Amino acid sequence: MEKLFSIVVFVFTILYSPDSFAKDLRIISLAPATTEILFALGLDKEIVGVSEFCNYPKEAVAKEKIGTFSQPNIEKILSLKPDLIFGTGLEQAPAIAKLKQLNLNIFVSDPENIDELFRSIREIGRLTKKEKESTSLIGNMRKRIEKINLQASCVAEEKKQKVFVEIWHSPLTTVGSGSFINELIALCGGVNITSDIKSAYSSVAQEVVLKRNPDCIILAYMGNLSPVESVISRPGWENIAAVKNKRVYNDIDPDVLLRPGPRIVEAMEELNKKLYPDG
Amino acid sequence: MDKILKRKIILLSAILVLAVILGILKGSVNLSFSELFSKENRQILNFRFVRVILAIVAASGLSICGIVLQAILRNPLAEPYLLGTSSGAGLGAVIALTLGVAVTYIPFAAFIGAILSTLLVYSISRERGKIGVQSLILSGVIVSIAFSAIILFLLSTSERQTLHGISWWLWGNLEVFDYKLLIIVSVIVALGIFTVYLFSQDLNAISIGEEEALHLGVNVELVKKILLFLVSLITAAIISVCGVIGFVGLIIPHISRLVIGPNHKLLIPVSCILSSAFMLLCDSFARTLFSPSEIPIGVITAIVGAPIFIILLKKSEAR
Repeated sequence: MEKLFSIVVFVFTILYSPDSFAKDLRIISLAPATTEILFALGLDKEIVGVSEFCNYPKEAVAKEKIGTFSQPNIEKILSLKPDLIFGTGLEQAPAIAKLKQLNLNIFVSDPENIDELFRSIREIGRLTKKEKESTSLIGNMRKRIEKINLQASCVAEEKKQKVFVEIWHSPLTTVGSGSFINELIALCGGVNITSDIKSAYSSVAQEVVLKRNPDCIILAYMGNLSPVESVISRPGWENIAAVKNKRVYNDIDPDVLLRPGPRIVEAMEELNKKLYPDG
Repeated sequence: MDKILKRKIILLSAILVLAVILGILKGSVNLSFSELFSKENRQILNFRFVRVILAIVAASGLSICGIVLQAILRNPLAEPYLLGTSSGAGLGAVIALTLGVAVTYIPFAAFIGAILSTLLVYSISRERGKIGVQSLILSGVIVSIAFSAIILFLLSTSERQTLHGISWWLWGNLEVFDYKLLIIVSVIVALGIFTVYLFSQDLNAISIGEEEALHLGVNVELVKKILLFLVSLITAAIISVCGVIGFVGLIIPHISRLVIGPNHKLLIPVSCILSSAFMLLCDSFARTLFSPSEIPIGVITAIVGAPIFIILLKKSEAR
């Protein structure tokens, strides 16, 4: 334990000694969500490499690419001599394990809910000496979330909007209670009709959607290839409230909706507008 | 003997009827008998009915394709996707998505991909107007591997994260959104199976050996060509509507042969019955095991099918 502690202290002294900050910090981000957080903290100059999926903000597109989301190029990463690397879990886990073996400084941000996202942002702020920025970013996000949540708490239980989120059509795939979107919907005062499913993503039969009769359907296909008409024209779906009342939406940017980053509050505001258009 | 045969067929048909009833009564939503048949739930009943039809169509088609390929190639490992249809369909779908085509056109792209891949396999294996059995198997495997590699290449380089959906699609699924598509596919599969049935005697002869079949007066090359064409058409049609469902086309022909013997006149109808019952039962598991979540049907067919197959195999060896 003592040994571990001394190692931690040692690593920290290297990381935070004035000497290592004499030169600019060199940061690599392996995931779109961490890239968005880093840019939101004003680390544009320090970021030397991002993944090919990092498309926001537009400054990220111009950065050096270190490979795809699931297969970052280790050689490329090493050649950029990063002081700090930020990544996430999921398909990235094997690559991150490999990078850790190379004694690189890696921080994994894999939040499963808003609180964990805040913790991640604070941690990233601390590691990059942007504590002030991270505090104000979190404060700002909190404020916007609370505003929506306050409205949401006024909605009577029986008036809560039921939402079906469709991630893919064949098989029909939706989000369960383990997903970020599930929490966003709840904070907006909505009810995810498949929140009884534990995992983040799961396929369901269409009879489930029909029976639970959502007031609103959100299409969140990764990559935006989901015409609303394809849902409306499904046989039998005309009886679903969301289809009947023309409340099938595909215009929330799935990047905003699916990435656990600062724009999650934008997703929430969008969602809130769809769920309660009259405010 | 005839009596035993009749009893077997009646028993199998009874199992199929039970499986159909189960498929309609049990689903992701738990409904009692009276609830299910109430007016309010008419649409759910429709969904289940359509799903049962697709299960029967897909299962029958796949098992018949398995039978034909196992007979023509005289290889027990032959299965419908051996001719590269599955990776061809996958490639077609992935290319369509890479080009930014709307998801509703995936079935069409998959069908084209499957047909083109079998044409490729066929033309590679053809030599001086004849199709070599070995070279057909090899070229099928090679085209599959090459196409899978291209799929992975596109998946790993494309910036479109939509493509992740494709890996879900490849697990197979019996839910139908497009009834027109289902009708077209059903007609293709039904006509295909009927035509294959007309060739039962030729299949009997060819499965013994091509030499022997020639001596019996079968135009082996022509029959092979026709049957290969039918197999690729049926498989491509099925893939386009429900993705790739493994194991049924490999294992049901063997189980049917163990139950009823090698005569294709009986083997073909019995396989249709048996595979449909098997698929329906697997689908019931898929829908109800973790309801409302659904498990990919291909996972269930493999998990349930493998032990059944091993037990039957051991039994027949003991005899």
